[in-house]
Amino acid sequence: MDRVSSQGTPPLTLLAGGRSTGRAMPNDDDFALMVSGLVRRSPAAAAQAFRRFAPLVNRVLRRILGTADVEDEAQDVFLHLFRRIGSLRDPQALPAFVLTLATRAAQWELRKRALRRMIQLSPTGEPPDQPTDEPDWGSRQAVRAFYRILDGLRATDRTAFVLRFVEKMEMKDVAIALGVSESTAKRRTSSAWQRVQARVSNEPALLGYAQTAGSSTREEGPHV
Amino acid sequence: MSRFDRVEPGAQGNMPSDPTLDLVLEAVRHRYDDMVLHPAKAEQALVLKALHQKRRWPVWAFGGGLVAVGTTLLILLFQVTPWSSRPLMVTVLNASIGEGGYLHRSPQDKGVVQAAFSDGSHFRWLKGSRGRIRVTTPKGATLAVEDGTLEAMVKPLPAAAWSVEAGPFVVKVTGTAFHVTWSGSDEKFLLDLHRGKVTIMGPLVGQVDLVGGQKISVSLREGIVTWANPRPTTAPLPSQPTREAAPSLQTPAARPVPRTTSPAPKRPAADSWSTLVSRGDFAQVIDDAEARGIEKSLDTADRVGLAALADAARYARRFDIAEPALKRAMQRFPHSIEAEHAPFLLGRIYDEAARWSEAASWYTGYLSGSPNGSYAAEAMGRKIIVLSRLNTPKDSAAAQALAKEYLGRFPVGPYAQAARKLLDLR
Repeated sequence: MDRVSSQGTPPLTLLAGGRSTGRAMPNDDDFALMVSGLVRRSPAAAAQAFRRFAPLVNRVLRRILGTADVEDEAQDVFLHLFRRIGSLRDPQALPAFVLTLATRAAQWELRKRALRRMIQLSPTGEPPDQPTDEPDWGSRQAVRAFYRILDGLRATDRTAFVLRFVEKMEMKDVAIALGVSESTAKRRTSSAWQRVQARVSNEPALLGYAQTAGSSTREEGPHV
Repeated sequence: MSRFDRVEPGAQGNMPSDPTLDLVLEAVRHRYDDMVLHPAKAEQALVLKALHQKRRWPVWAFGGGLVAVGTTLLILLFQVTPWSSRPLMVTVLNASIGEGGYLHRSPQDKGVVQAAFSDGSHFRWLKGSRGRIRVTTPKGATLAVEDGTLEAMVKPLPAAAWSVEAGPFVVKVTGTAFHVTWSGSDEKFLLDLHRGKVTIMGPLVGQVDLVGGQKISVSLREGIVTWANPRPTTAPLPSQPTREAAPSLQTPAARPVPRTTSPAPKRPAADSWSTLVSRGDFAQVIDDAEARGIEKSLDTADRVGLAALADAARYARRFDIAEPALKRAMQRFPHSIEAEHAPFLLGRIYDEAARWSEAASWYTGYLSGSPNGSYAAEAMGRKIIVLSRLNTPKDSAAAQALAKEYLGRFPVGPYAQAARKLLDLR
């Protein structure tokens, strides 16, 4: 926690990758107010923090875990946030603090899954996939195949990979979220990329998806 | 430079690129977005959990805790008393248990809401009361009175652990019979202990033990604690100021503010106003502010301090200080939570001063700024009441329209009955 608060972490926009959180970025003073309210256990501040950070937390958890239903994990993240807000020295580090908690919650869940696999509670360690109304069957299969590949990575490497290449976070942000140095984060993402890339190139489902999706993209022409 | 940094730049500087993987990553981004399912429900559940979550012990405490647990287990093994790790069973009459343990009465339910526990303890929420069963454990349960009166008969069993929450007060019980009442709208607490012993924790009283036959009533808004029958002598207690007529806004209240008269340890001078308010020492906050000069305090106090001063002044009925403190909080910290709540609190002040028109304006201000705010239900309810009291055709029509809206939004809210009455509904 000290690491997060002492580094003068970047604002949330840097951490949020290519997608918007759907809300205006509050000014610095808002984080100070929010933190002060959370420290006082104000219900209004708790609600405000939830509204502000729930999209980020949900997205990061979904992308690391590869499942749409992350309600329990997201709630754990916020309960941890409310419980540990007193350890945050710099209110401006609040987004990074939240991201760190989300990352840790995701890693904890990945380890639990690994344990479940080990004691054979479930073949994949995951609950059954949720029903979906997504029409694109090919894309769904590709995503599932991709997460099967990620299942072969260690929790930290998988997290580093997702934060860097799916979330498109800067390396320093990945390092903060993982609680490691930037050079360690670089090593992890680099090694994870190589392993994932090698497996993707041998996965027929993904190669087939790439051919189909690539050709349809070409037919549609470039996006302006 | 590592191999990683040497690859062809992608969308973000030194991102490596692979055509297949890039397409898959895009599919992942598309599939797992930042949508929050049922945001309002999740937010409400989370906030409730956050408020009720227990403090975590530091890691070093676990060692000691393990030793203590081990010792306890050994003792239990040698005890003849049967012991179960399962929570007590509870049967609820005339209501159903909803989310968060709230007890919901359906129109078919006649009679008072009752909860009978498997150890023989029995609770009744008297007519018009609202409450819930927060948690049950093998040795008891935590119940709450949201509004109204709870009649409790707790079976005296060894190691029984029961508690009742009534507003900001917590009543710890081992085995006893009592009535406890909490009125959220008036901020009044009343406990009538028939027999046994309880410990009360809460503002103005601190922590205090009561024995059978004693009665205590606390009015937070007026800062008055009243005892019936002999006062306990074991804990710090406030004195008993006499009740006076409610002061108007123009006349600074001369009512004495309760002070702790017991041999409580002296507080260090550095205690913040918010700390003093949380202890119920409103008089100290007001004394401090007056010693510094009220205007100066209003101009120089930080956001938290200003909010504490406003709270202390409201509870001590020093509306001459509370009103400018709230207005100043809105001016100086316009984007703060305190500024968000201030119009409602100002409405309450004018409401109490029987200045209905101003009260209605402030409630309107609060509801337009925070239509879903923490006090939305209360503000709507109070606005219905004050508009009815204005008693003009225009205001009565507005009150009726608001009552309809209120019933739509808060069908079981504390002002639902008043709204129905106004609309002449059964």
